[in-house]
Formats: sequence, structure tokens, C-alpha cells
Amino acid sequence: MYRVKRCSLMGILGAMILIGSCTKTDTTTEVTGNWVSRSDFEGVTRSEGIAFTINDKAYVGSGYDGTNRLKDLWQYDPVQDFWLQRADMPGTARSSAVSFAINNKGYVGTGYDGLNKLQDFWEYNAASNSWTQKANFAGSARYDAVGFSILDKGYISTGYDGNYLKDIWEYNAATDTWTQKISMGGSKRSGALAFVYNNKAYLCTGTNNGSSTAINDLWVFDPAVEAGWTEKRKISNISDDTYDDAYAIVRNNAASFVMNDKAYITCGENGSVLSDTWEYDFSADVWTKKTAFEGVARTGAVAFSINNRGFVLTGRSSNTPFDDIREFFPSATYDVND
Amino acid sequence: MKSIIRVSIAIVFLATSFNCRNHSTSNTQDGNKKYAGIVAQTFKTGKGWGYEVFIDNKLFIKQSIIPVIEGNKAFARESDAIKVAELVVDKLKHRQKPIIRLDELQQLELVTK
Repeated sequence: MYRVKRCSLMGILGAMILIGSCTKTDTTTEVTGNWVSRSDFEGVTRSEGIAFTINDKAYVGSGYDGTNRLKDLWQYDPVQDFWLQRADMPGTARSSAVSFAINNKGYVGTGYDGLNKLQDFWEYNAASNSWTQKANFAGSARYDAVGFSILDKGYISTGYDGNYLKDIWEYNAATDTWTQKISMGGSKRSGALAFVYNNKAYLCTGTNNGSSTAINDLWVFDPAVEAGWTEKRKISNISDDTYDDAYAIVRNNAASFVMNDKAYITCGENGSVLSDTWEYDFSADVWTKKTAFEGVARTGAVAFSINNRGFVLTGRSSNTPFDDIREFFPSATYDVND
Repeated sequence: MKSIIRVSIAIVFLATSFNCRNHSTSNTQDGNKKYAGIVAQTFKTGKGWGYEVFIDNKLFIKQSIIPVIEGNKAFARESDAIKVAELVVDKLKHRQKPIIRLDELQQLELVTK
């Protein structure tokens, strides 16, 4: 059983941080959250894989196992906690692709096959367990882009095509067409994160020319607005206020998920492989450090959330094997034994 | 010792699986982690056969359809499900990922309806 900290305590701590932000006094916040191993075995681990969710199931596939690029696809049942291998993705085995789901279909495209940057784009029908090739991504062939969906549209942005990128393209599944939208105002980057909340996408972190330190901006993409992008506060310690004093969020190749009105960023790399975890409060535009990922620190991990349950799985580090999948309980007290 | 473990696992499965059969067991010790066993068993689906793989008595894979190929086909024969399940168990025992590849599936020459 997990001892859940009282919400009121969190509220008071949050209020203390907000009040403290005016006075530049040091505020010590107890780090909360607990990572629970769900299937403690190497399992279907991989780095640079893809994940999307359809009807309370997660789908994880492609990626790199340290030797080969992969084309397999697995379904994860978070309720019963088991895996089912599904139909291989057609096309070349790849890593660093992007994925999203629209109208109960999964979409996977772009990526890297070890030699070539890829531009092809595929639709997965979970009901029939089958793949269909769709119109090639209309931007340049690339890898380490981000993919996300908002309502009935999909989006691919940033990445690396030989140069670092910040363009964004919208996919209309009904017409199988791509439309370029206004590019992000921030830095060009690859290995970024995009997470969606209330029909807006939040894009941050990543790398440009081997450095993640300068990629400290956070941008919100709202497809309902013509201009598209607006910037939030920086995610590194650059203000005179205290709220960002402890920020160590910048990184490349991290994992993110959204649950219970908060976003979580974990793992990734910035000089070394990381395991620390950060919680983003959308309304306050504030990040709070949470219990570090309890598996082996890793980069290129995959994360997803289903019904307000967040999972992180797969990835790579200098150590193998990895355990398989961990669920994060952000309000629970850290327990070393689970 | 090994035979004792085998027998004990077999007893567990005699007690827990009625129509299903236990096909493969192993006992591995790797570094800090000790596994009670990697075990596969078949089960009947509406359309044929599937298999389950357990690690330490915890369900890990429940394969109700043939992996790798498109469509939702069950294994036509129990022996086909056993072949693939044993391959998965063998991979896990050798610390490999439990991924079945198309060429492996073809080598097993499954019966398709």
C-alpha cells in the first residue's frame, strides 16, 4: 500500500513556494513520488522506441536494442500488467521515430534506420492488427523529432535532418494530407519532448549541436490560434526569483507523460544519463522536483499515461539489462522496496 | 536439486492449471536477481490456441494471437502455440528480449487455417 500524502500539505508547500518567490528566501521542499516496478524483467526494453495509446492499451514498438533496430510492436495492458506481441511495423526497422494516435488509430513515421533518415508514415489499426502506408511526412526526412496529436490532427515538429529543426507539420488523417504551420519561435532542436494538455502541446528540452544547456525554453502550441506558439517561463535558473533556483530540467532524449493535470519529465541525458524527475504545474507554470526514477538511469526511454496512470519503460544506459516498466505514483511516499 | 525444482514446479502447475499444460520451466540466477522460473502454458481461445509466459509466477506475456503477422489469428494447433512459447522462454532464459521475428515464425512452420 502507498501512503498518499495529504493534498493539503502539497497545497501549503505550493503556497509557500509561491509566497517565497517574492522574498528570495530558501525554501526546502520534501521530494515526493514513488516509482513501482510492474514487470521486473528485461522484457521488451529498447531505446528510441515509439509509444501511443488506444482504448486503455499502450502500444510500444520500433527502437534500438543496442545492436539492431527493431520493427516489432507490443500491446501493454496496464490493468492486468501483461504484454502481447502484435503485427510488425512494415517498412524498415528504425529508431528515433515519432508516433501519436488519432481516432483510435496509431501513426508512426520518420526515424533512422542506421543509414538513412526516414520520411515514410504508417497507420496502425489496433482492431484489425494491421498497418497501412499513408502519405509520406511532408517535411524533410528526419529523426529525433516530436510527434503528438490534438483532437483529430497529428503533428510532427523539430528533429534532425542534417540540421537541427523547428518546423511543424499538421497531419489530417481524414484527407491523408500534411500542412505546414508556423514554426516555433524557440531554438531549433532534436530529442525534444512534447506533451499535450487541454488541447495544447508543450514543447521543451532537447539538444542543438551537442548541448542541451541552451535549450531552456518552453513553448506552447495551440492549433486553435493562428499564430500557434506562445512561450512560458524558462526551465533553467535564470530569474531573480526563487522558484527556479533548483531547476535542473534541461536535457536531451528524455521521457514525459501527463497525468492528473500535471506533466512529468524524467530520464534523458545531459552530459551523463539522468534519472531525476520533474513535475510541471500547468496553471502555475512552475516545476517541482519529484523522486528520481528508481530504475537504472536511462536515456531514450518511452513514457505514456493511461487513465491518469503514468508509465516509463525501456531506454538505455551503460548498464544492461534494464528492468521493464515502472509506474509513477507522484503523491506517494518513496519506498525503496517496490 | 534440479529435478526437485522441476517436480515442485510441476506440482504447482498441476494444482493451478486444469486444461492448460505447462511446457517449459527454468531456474536461473543472475547477479542479484533470482527467478523462481520462466514458465509457459497454453490456453484455448475462441478460435484456436494461445500461450502465456510467466516469470516468477507473474504473467508477463499473454499471446492470444499469432505474433508478428497481421490480423487476429489464433494458433490453429496447440502444438504451434507450444513451439512459439518455447522459443520465447528460450530467449528469456538466455537473457534475450522475448521478441519473435518473422523469419523465426516461418522456420517454425505453423499451420495456418
